Amino acid sequence: MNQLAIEHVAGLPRSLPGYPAASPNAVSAAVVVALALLSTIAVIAWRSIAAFEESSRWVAHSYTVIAELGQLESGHSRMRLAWRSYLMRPAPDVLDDYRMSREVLENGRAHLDALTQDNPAQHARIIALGDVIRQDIDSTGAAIGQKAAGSLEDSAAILATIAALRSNGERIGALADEAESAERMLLAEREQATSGQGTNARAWIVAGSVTSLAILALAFLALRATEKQVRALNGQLKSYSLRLEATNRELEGFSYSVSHDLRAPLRAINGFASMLEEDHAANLDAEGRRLLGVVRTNADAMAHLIDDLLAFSRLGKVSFVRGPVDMVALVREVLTERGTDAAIEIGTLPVAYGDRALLKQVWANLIDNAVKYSAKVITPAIRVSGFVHQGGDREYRIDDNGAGFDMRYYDKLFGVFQRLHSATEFSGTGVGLAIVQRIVTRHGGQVWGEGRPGAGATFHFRLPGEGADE
Amino acid sequence: MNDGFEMVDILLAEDSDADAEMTLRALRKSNIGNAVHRVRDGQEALDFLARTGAYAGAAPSRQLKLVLLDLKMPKVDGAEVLRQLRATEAFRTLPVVVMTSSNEERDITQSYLLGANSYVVKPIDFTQFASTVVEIGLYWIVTNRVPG
Repeated sequence: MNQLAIEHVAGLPRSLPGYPAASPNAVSAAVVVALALLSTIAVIAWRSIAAFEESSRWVAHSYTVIAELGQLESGHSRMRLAWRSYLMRPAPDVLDDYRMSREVLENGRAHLDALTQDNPAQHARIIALGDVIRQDIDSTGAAIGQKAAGSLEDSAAILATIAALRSNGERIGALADEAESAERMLLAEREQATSGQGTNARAWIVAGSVTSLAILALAFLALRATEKQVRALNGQLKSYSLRLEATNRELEGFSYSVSHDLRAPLRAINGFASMLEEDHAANLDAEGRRLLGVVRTNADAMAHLIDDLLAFSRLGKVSFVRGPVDMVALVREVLTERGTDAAIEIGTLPVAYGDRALLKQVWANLIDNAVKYSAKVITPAIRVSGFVHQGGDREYRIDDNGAGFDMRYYDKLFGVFQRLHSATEFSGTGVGLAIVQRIVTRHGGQVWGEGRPGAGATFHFRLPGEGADE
Repeated sequence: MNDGFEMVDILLAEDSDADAEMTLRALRKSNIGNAVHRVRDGQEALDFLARTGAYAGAAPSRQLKLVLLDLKMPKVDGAEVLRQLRATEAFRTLPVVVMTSSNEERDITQSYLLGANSYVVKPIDFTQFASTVVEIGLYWIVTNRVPG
């Protein structure tokens, strides 16, 4: 059995090369950056749209002012027509017309006054315009009053009045035109600004959309790359597990032929030595019989080696049931079965999570070892204890005051068929600790030990707590 | 042996000469080894039982009471011999004891599923081996009853 080969294969998935996984931190950072970028663009776009709306309102405002000015002028024209007609031919409907258009004129002036509050230059013009309008209304009203009183009948006098009032009318037209052209200039400026802001807003909206698309594309690419990696890793894992299966099958085949083929010659050695002893003992002297005994003893030893080896290789195949295990009860069970009279002190042993039968094997091998290696001490002292680590891991230890071992040979301690003592000192095949290590490793734990020749040995094993996976 | 085929009561199918010799010795020592015929592989076992190949024309072994069958043999292995025996009307009830070195669970299970009457792992210690062989021989030849 090649212990190294097993460890190597078991270690494969832990060292998959070539695929550095993107760290969760990098992903979070990318998401934060993307969110910051998008929200900045959104805020800017929102602001430029608001600015566009604001300047659009000013454009509309200018149009309103221009329209009001137009209405004011047309009201003024109608009023002039009305009062002139009245002076020629005083009729009540013409007077109504005059009053109506005067009202239009006054309302228009009031509207414009309100509309131009924000613009001092324009407002000054409207005030000047208002003054002239009031003069015009006053003087035309006075002329209409004279006509109504019958004191303005002479056509020459009428023409003179009309001529006298002309300049007012002209000034109104001129002021209104001036105000309108000022407003039109303003409008042109505002329209230009609005169009600039519109372009701006559009640009930011486009920028936002393009950024979103870019981020989406990047995310898509990253996802695809990750998926590809995962697929590649899966493929690799699959090939590893296939290799692992193949190795396991090979090992099974190996242990099968060990079980079958190595036993047969042993049986023959043992059998024929026995037959020689049975049938020809009379022809052998004491030395001959001793030599035969050596042959048989060694055949027996090899038989034990094979049995232990098979037990070790079968460990990989037995099913594994994880559950809470009362370690105190387990140790007591082992001691009862051994019927050992060695004094073993049982300290605190926390409940373990693992396979009961396999953990029992661990205790059995460790206790057997401790008993065996302290058997030659006058007062053997063996103690088992344990504690729970902060993360929930359990650690157990067994101390003895026996033969101990030299730490220089530590690397041989857990190897199959590796022995630190000769068979004449202590019997055994060197499989016990290898089995312990295999079981503990299968539980996801570790085993280690320390010792000094003649000063006892301590073995520790640490198992993951509840909830750990195999 | 050639003319004694009709007297054979145990067929020993065993490729290992050493194992065969030890088995025969143990049987002889307890006086049940006189009518044992040994074959060296599965094909020879099938030939002997069906009187084909080297055994064509020989008289049938009417006394045959037991087949001691090794599993790992050249040409045709023990499992295949067992399968073919159980598929043949004349040998469906013939007692077959599998004697092998293998202590593997799958071999034990497979042998019983194929219709073995017993499964014995050959002990490595000679004394145990000999007593096991004798126990098997006595039980199946002297104690056990078969139909017909």
